[in-house]
Amino acid sequence: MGRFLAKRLGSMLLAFFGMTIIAFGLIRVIPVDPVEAYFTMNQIPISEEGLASMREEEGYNRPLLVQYSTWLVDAMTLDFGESFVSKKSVTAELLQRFHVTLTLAATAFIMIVTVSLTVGIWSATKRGGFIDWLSRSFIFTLASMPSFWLAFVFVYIVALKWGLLPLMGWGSFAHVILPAGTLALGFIPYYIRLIRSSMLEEVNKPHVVFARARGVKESVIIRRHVVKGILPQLVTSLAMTCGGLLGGAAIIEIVFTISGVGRFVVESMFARDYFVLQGFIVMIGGLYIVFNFVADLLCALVDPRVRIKGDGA
Amino acid sequence: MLEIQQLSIWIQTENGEKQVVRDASMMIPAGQTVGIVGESGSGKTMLCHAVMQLFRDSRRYNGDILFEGRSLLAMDEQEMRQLRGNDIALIMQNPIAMFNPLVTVGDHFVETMQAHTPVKKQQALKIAAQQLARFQLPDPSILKKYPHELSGGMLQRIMIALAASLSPKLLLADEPTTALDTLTQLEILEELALYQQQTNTSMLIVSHDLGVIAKMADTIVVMRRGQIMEYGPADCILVEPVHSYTQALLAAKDNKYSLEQLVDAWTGEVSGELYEYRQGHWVRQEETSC
Amino acid sequence: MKKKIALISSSVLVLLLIAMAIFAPWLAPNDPYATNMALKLQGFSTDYPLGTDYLGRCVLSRLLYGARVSLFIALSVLVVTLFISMFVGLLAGYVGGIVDLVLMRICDIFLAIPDFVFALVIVGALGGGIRNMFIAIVLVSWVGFARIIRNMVRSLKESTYVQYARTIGVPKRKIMIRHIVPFVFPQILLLKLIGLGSTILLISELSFLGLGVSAPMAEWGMMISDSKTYLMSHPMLMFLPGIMISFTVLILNWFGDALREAMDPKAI
Repeated sequence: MGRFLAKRLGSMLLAFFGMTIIAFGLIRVIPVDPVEAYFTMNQIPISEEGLASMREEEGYNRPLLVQYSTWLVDAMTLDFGESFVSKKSVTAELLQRFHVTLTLAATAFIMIVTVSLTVGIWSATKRGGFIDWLSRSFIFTLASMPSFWLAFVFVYIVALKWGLLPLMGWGSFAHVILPAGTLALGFIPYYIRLIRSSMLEEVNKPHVVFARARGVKESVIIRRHVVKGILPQLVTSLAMTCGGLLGGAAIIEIVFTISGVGRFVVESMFARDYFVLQGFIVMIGGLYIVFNFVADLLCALVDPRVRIKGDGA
Repeated sequence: MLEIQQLSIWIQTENGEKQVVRDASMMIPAGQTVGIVGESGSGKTMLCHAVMQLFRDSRRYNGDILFEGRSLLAMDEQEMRQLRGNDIALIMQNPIAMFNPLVTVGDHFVETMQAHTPVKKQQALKIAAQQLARFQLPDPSILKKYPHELSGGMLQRIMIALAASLSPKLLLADEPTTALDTLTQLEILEELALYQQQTNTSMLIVSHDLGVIAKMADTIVVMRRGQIMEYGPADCILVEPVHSYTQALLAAKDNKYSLEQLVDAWTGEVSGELYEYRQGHWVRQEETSC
Repeated sequence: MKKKIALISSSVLVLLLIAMAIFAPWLAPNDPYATNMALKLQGFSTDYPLGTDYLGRCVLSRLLYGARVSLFIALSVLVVTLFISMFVGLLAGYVGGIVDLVLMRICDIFLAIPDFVFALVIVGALGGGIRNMFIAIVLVSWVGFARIIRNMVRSLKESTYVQYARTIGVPKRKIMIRHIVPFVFPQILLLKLIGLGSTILLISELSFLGLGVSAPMAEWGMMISDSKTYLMSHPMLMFLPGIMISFTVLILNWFGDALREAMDPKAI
């Protein structure tokens, strides 16, 4: 188990460093000179000497590798510099909004897991009937709708027409339901289909037939043999989705005017506030490692073969 | 004990229905062992599944199967579930695929017993350990092991112990020794025979290997392409096979490697009616080519 | 039979969709860019079948022209990523060794960043506009497919007929063209077609954020974004483009599914 996790952690760290290179390189490929951008942003008159001294001061004249390593060391201590716009530290700005996005993403995550497991298992066991067909068609249609548009439709119907839930903003739990629900809806169809199809594959496996031949109750077969069998695959996919939820939150936060990390990042991007973007990529990269490591740990707990051989079967 | 009456089975495939068993009738008297021998695709495994009523959704049956006088085809799923594992137990081929890789051996026992009796987990594990000891697996730590940690031969023994743990009245063994090495095959057969003697359980053994059947069965059924070719007491069939297909099988009995080839090489047509060659010994009439 | 009906009817719908995009200039009742402040936010009428938007532009005409943008970008992304994925996948799979290792680690990095975040960052760095959105979508879309191709090539390489071709001394390049590409290509094309719907969704998301097409151009995601403020008074302005996106994606997804069913019952 130790070997398996170490191996996985190694490749995740590698990917993480790749992401830091992308984050660092970002500022080099942009068509705008960051120093000039800084000057314009702060309405400092641009002069050649001013630019040059700033470049010197910020180390833009040193070799790229040196620049990268100093940047990386700073990044590892969560120092991404100051936001051009607010003059506050990027880390502080991101952290200040992080709990909002986290609440949104976590609620959506719980919704995804509960709804997809319930509907997916149910539709797999009732396969072939009219209800199954109906739910599949519904899911298929749902999967085709852009989530930001659905968000507006919900706002219009649930909040504007019926007045059931608060329209926009943030504060109480009622504020979370609609945005989190919309965010979750973008992923639920995928998961229902994944659960349904992998369960149908699992149901035909010889060991499930054998369990039935031993007279084991159908509910026990589903719970212990079928659902347990699809868990490793499900957990791995969910880990990828966690990152997607944090990213997808941006669009939902904009629709519902919630000041979370996502909306902040999009706004910073329009303001060409590149240090924020850099910080955000590194943050996503760090979380990616956390999510995937937890997923691997869970897989190892469910599947004894991973624990022993050090390699998933 | 078990009576199969003119059973025909159709399975549903993508291209419509396909008949896999045609008008098969046989009886398994209490305490006796019946062996079905035939090549792969002869419908013998389908018969086992039919008795267990597995894959009900995708198969269609004609005829009837009576277990202690009750029709299995007429039973609903709930009644059938109570019968499976409890009154009729099945040992399947390829034991490695039959155990859930994510569940310990012990839990396989516990769930089987708890499906039929209100037994506590600890009690079930105790019974499981006793059952395993009976089939030459005295080490109780096996119960904590996962299937991939055990060999095919061990898993096959565990499967037999699992089937025996609720003392079924009828034991179906579908290719119980295929995919095992020769020595283990022999041991397992001996254990099965011993178990049969001790408990007087009725048994149905299915194999492509006439050697296995000859060792175990009181009555032999020879099948080919879903039809019974010859059906009678083992003493008669082994000594004096009537149908040319049985003769070919018997001639190849001791030569394992040529058996499958021989079965394939036998090109005779499956046709004609079954007739009673002797008391209790039925043979399918061969159409003479002259 | 059922499969055939699904395939034929979905293909017809896809063709209708493409026809709608191609013939938009003839189908549209009005100039999609002509503003008329006197006639802004009108309801349905004979002149403007689906009303007008906040600048008095014909909604129906803009919806029809919107199909051009989405389908054109999605199809170009398909073609370009097809080549990039094929190239990387074949290279990694066939050459193997250090090349494979490096390429796959690069894939790992791309896969680690959520698609939407990645596209956001690229468009953010390069600026908005069709060209940059196109680059961003290409960059996020090639990775998964490259890995699939690489795995396919690896298993094909072990197959007996490729092994045989190698033993009798068929040159590598010939093996690739004769035995590997013809096998891999149709399967990847199929997967790409299945993915068309999600590309359209990504385009609309980026445009909604204002990162895609620039102002006067008619694009569904941007039309939704434009109608935000009028949600209360003129919800139709927001509903219609969304319905267009949903229908387009639905048809493409259905077509992809039907094609997969028809081509390979084993499912990929």
